[in-house]
Amino acid sequence: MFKSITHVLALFSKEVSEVFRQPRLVLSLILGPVLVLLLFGLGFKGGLPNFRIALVVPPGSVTPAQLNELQKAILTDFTIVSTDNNLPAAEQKLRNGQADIVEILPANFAQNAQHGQQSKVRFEYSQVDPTNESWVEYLGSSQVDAMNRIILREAIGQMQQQGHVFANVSPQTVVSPLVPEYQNLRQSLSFVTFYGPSVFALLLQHIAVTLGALSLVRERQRGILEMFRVAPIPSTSIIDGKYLGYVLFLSIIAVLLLAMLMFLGVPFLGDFWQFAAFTLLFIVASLGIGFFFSCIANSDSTAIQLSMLMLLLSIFFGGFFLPLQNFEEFMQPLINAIPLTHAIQGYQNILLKGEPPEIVNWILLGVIAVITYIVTQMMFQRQLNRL
Amino acid sequence: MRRRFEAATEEAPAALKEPQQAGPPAIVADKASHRFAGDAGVYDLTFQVPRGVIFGLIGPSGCGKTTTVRILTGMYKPSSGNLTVLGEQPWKFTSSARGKIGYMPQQFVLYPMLSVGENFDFSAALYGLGAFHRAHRRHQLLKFVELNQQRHRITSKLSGGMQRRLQLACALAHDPELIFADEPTAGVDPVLRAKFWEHFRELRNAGKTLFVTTQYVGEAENCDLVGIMRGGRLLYIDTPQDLRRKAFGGDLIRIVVDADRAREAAQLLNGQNSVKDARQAYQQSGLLLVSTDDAASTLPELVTVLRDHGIDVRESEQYASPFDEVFLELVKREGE
Repeated sequence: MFKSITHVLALFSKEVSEVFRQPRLVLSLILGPVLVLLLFGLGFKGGLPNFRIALVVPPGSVTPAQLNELQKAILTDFTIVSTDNNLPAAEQKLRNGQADIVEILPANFAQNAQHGQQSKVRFEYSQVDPTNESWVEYLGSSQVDAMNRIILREAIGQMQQQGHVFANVSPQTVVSPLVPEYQNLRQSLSFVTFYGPSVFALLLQHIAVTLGALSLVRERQRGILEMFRVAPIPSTSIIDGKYLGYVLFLSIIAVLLLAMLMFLGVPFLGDFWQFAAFTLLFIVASLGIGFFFSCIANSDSTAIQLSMLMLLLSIFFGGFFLPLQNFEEFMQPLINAIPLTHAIQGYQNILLKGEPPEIVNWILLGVIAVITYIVTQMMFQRQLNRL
Repeated sequence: MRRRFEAATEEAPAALKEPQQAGPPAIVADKASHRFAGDAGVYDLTFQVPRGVIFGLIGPSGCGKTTTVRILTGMYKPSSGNLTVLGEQPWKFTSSARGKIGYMPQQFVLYPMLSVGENFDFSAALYGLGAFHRAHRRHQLLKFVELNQQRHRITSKLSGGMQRRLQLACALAHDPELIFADEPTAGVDPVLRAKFWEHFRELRNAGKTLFVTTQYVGEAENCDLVGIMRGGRLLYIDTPQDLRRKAFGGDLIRIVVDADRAREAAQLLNGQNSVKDARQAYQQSGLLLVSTDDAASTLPELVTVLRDHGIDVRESEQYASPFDEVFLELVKREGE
């Protein structure tokens, strides 16, 4: 028992001393993520894309008052760079990159309407980004809705003056008898606040995976496994000591990152001890993946490549910015195998909602931690035996 | 030459003089082999290493020395044959057996970012030494390898020789009975090499058993027992003195006479019953090398014979040929 503790502590203190003896490594591992988080907080503004519109208004199509109303409606979601009747000039602006959209109002939509025909508001754009294309269509549609309401309101106003229809009802109510009312039962959050816990989890996971991935590879390359093989130290103690050392180091990083989150205004509505326990589990699960990579990598560069691959997987499939429900069912095992998936949900619960993480997040993180621990122990034991 | 030869004889440990009193051998190998893919590996290793001696395994690079050490330390399981180290089969070593073995790998494998003291403590902790015990051993062993002044220095800042000495101190941290040092002097300057052998002799004198591999053939002089290895096979095992005798068919005597009478002297000596072979050597004019069963008793007799025939003997001594010559001779014989 005494020897086991001595073994684990030896590995633990070795890992800690080795890390802290390298100031540049400590700076890049601690200051780096904190700076990334700070830059994210200060630099990310979020919100909807603000497209620039070149508005083409054929002569006589709208009255100045209507045009004024239309421009107000457009300006809620877009920036107007020009308003005239020169379509070629507007299209040239689109080609030159001075405008994102050319919006062409129909020439005689009032007459068309009187004849029971719809007119088309044409939106020309040049987008390769499918998300932006969707936004153009969505915002264009809501703009046309707003324009329809303006026109309808005017028409109803005229009808009221002429025919006394809906005499006691305002045209606004006739046009839009239903209006939405929003109330967020939770605290409304900025984009930075919402994404803060996700960035925190992503940084922590990446550091843990990278540290773990490099750990055993370096020892193997250095040749010290020979000493481990000859000495009366069980392979389990070697891995346990490494876990202990890195958990301590990553806990310090987690505290610093949390302080930065607080500085950026991210609320901490949940229980601190739940946060601490969840973070510990998340660190162990992430380290486990790193150690697993370390067992299969044969060089530093392979270990780094695998860490980067994990980072990419996490960004795309961990719910970092793409909603998990957008993925096909067959992707679920991969999604669930990524610690970040559960960490993002758990941290959002603890920090932003003041609720404990879902039980499924605890369980799946625990499963990842246990499986990677066992696999790492087995593979390392095998490597020592096959030295 | 004479002084060195006699010194080695005088220092022969009790285990070689009276093996029955030294207890069971530290290492017993009986036709142990370990084969890798192709023809690589070591074959039919049969030898015993008594306790309290320095056993030197000598041979060119790639001859199987490191593989032998790895078999003996339990890293490899022999493909065939029997092997016991300190009474246990190495591939089934218990923790207790491992605790009696010290291992100094061929390369410096410790942590470059840790200090000398931290690396020592880490190595000692691998063997379960507690903090107090470690501190005591650290002081003792860093002083032994003359690194006490450098104990706070970062290991990456040490010279190669200092790193090797630190590696030796780490191998001794837990006071092992049996020490395996795999090419401890490789790439080390001659002064430090001599220092290493001085350390090894001190350890041997303290009752430790050392199994040392080296590709510097001349270092065999420093060993009590020498194994000569080539192509994965152990060709000879004996004391350095007896290996010399094997190489040259007995003891060698070096006699210097007048150059113009050297030929006549050689013929005269070849006619003596106690002489196996006498021939002119060309390193020096008038030099004769005489092979005999017992140099000590034959030398005065031969000098008398030469002088009786009016041949002036300028120098005469028992000759300990450099071990490089012994090695080449033995390898040549094995080839024949």
